[in-house]
Amino acid sequence: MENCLKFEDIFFSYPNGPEVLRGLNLQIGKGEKIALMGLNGAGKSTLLLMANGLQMPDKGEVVVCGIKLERKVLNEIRRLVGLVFQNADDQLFMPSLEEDVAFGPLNMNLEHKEVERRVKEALESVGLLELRKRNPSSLSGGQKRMGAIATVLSMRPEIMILDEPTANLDWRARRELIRVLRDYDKSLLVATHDLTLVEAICNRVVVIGEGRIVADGATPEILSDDESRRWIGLEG
Amino acid sequence: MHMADALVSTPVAIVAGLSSLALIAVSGKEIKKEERPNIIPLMGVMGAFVFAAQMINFSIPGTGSSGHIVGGVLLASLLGPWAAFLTLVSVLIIQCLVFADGGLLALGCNIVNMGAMTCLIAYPFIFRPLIKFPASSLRIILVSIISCVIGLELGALAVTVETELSGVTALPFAGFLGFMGGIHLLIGIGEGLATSAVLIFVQRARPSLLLPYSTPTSRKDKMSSKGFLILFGVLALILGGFICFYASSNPDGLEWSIQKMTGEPELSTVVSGIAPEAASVQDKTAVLPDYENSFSGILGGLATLILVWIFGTLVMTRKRNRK
Amino acid sequence: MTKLEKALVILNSLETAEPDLRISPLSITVVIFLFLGFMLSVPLTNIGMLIWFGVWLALIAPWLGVSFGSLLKPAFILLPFITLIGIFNPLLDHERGLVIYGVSISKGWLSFAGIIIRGLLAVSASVMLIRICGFRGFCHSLNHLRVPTYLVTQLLMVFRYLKILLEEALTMRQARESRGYGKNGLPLRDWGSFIGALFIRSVERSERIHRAMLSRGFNGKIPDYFNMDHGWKKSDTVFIIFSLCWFLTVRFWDIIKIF
Repeated sequence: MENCLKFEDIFFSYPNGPEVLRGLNLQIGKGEKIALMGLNGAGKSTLLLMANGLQMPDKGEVVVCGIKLERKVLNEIRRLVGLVFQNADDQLFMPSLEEDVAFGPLNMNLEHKEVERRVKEALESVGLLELRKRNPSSLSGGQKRMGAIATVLSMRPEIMILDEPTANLDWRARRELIRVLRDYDKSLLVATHDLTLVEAICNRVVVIGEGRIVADGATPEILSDDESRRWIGLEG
Repeated sequence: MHMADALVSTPVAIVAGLSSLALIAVSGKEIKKEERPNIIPLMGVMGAFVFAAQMINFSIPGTGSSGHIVGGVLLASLLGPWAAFLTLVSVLIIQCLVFADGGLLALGCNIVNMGAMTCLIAYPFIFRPLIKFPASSLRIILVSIISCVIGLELGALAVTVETELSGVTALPFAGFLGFMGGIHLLIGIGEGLATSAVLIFVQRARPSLLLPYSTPTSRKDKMSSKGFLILFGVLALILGGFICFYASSNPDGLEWSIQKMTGEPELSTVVSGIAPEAASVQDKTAVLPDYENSFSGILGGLATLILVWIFGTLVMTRKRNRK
Repeated sequence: MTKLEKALVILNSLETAEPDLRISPLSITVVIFLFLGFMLSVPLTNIGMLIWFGVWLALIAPWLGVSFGSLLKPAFILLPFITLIGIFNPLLDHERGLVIYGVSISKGWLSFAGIIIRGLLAVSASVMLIRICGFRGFCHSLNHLRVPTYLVTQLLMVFRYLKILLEEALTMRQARESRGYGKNGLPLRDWGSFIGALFIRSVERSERIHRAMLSRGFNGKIPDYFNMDHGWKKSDTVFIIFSLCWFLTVRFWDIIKIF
């Protein structure tokens, strides 16, 4: 299977801080939907920031669809990797939802007609088309989360990465999110603690612990394995 | 010290407005040279922060009353003078339009009085030369107080001059100035104490946020000097404009020139002194003031206003009921 | 209700209204600027003229879906302050201004009334502008009027995060109050750490926003506002012409009378 995201031997520590990632290796193939699990502080968020170059590793390589991560190709990498952060308010910074969703495509210098098409498509897939002219402050938590996803969908990335997407969502919003992610047809990497989400959409679970991948396999196996469960924090 | 619309006359509003526009244009150029990559969202969020900070009062020691901060010097110590100025401008505009706090007519004046005086004068010429972070708490307190007092006093002076030149109020200049000056001394001390309280906290918690001064010959300093030259130019313009208006001392410039055109009795053109005297001179020399206020005219206007108002309300309630 | 809570109420009320516009935000923005310009130039003692400007407002407001009374309400809040300053006029200026049935009214009282009316009209006009366009519509009109992007972006961003920050401040203050602080403001040192903490959190928020911007390809310039054609209709042209005629007629009535 072709790889769309590869982390090779990644080492990283924050200035004046302990080593966060030590020799991490991970490969994500096209079309895979993967859950990234592990305790807080294990290095999940740092790893996600490296996927699109917001953070550069001290040692090791990040490869996106065959392109090695370097400063000069950041624009292209960011077109291929769509990152959805934990806090939706930080990603909806334009005065209306449609302008937020258009932000990415406009930065890609696409034609206005194409931008408009992508905005409509993205908003439709998350069920927010009628709310397109609304100010994000007036949206509910679940709507904001979907809006944030739409802002990334409109760029049509090869892989979408989400950091704790179900945090603070009520059950209805959660179901809606699961539906959207299940229908998503490209690669997905979800950092999460939410078992319902993992079981619903991810066929593979990767567990990070002490800066490395400590478990990697099919969802039912990992979630029933004692050692992995300990790394995830489900036991011990 | 928001100026109310009511106090500003057209000429003053125009001069202040143009000066504000010039300063805003300069700040736009200076911000483009900003090295900090996150300056755009930073200014946006800081603008919202200023709003929030202005709404939480601190108690003034020894009085039992409370006050709030304006935030010019505080902002500038994080963002630099021009970005801080633009941020305050955006805050003033939103306060004016969305919250009806400080009128649209007086906006130019408010921008100059509260924005320019603190961010573009008090901060760069008093605060920055006197402080290098990290600094002792005492130094921070003293320098903050001095900068804020000077910044606010300059603002108070500007308010007084603008009000007097507007000729709207009949307040005597000296009295008003003394009053404003005195009050803003106290307000300035309060603002200085508040500013230093925040700076001391931030220095302890995240000192890297405060602008470094350790390299006075850094690029940032050199680039700003052109901006400051322009600033001085604008200031000279403002002062010049004020002096011109003061000399002609005719707040109703438009009316005066119309009178000249229609050949009404001449008014003496050079009148020294403040507005009420000017008004009385106009009165004495005009046989029938061209802008006569026939009582019937006023009555007619009022009647129409009330009729239209009633009509409008009826139409609206009918629409609402139909829905 | 404190200042903070009042501000949040205003912000919330702005969000609900999605006004069904008969005219585009651009024309109302231009017309209000004209209104203010003309009204400002009216000499203070000419109350009649000022009132006729008010008549325009009373006429247009319901046509645009806003009640005139609701516009005056916020204006009246400013009244005490204006009165405080303006009251000196009648006290100091005793020149004869107007004679009604033998009773002389001084110029001081006339200019005092003029100050008040002008203040009320100015506030009402700007309130109407935002009420009708919404803040976003207003900013987009500014964009069409070639106001520099950095200023429009700044306005929109402050407005976007205003509610969030006010709510943060409210939560923090409620937490403090429940620990026993009175209504007379926080003691300075506590205020300093309170505002300082808010300051730092705001900076950190801006860093997160920046990261989100970078992830979507931001290169230093906010892209041109999308899909915001000004939507100029026939009614816009009619509206502008009508208003301009009104303003010119009222303002120069004295000259027109001569002919």
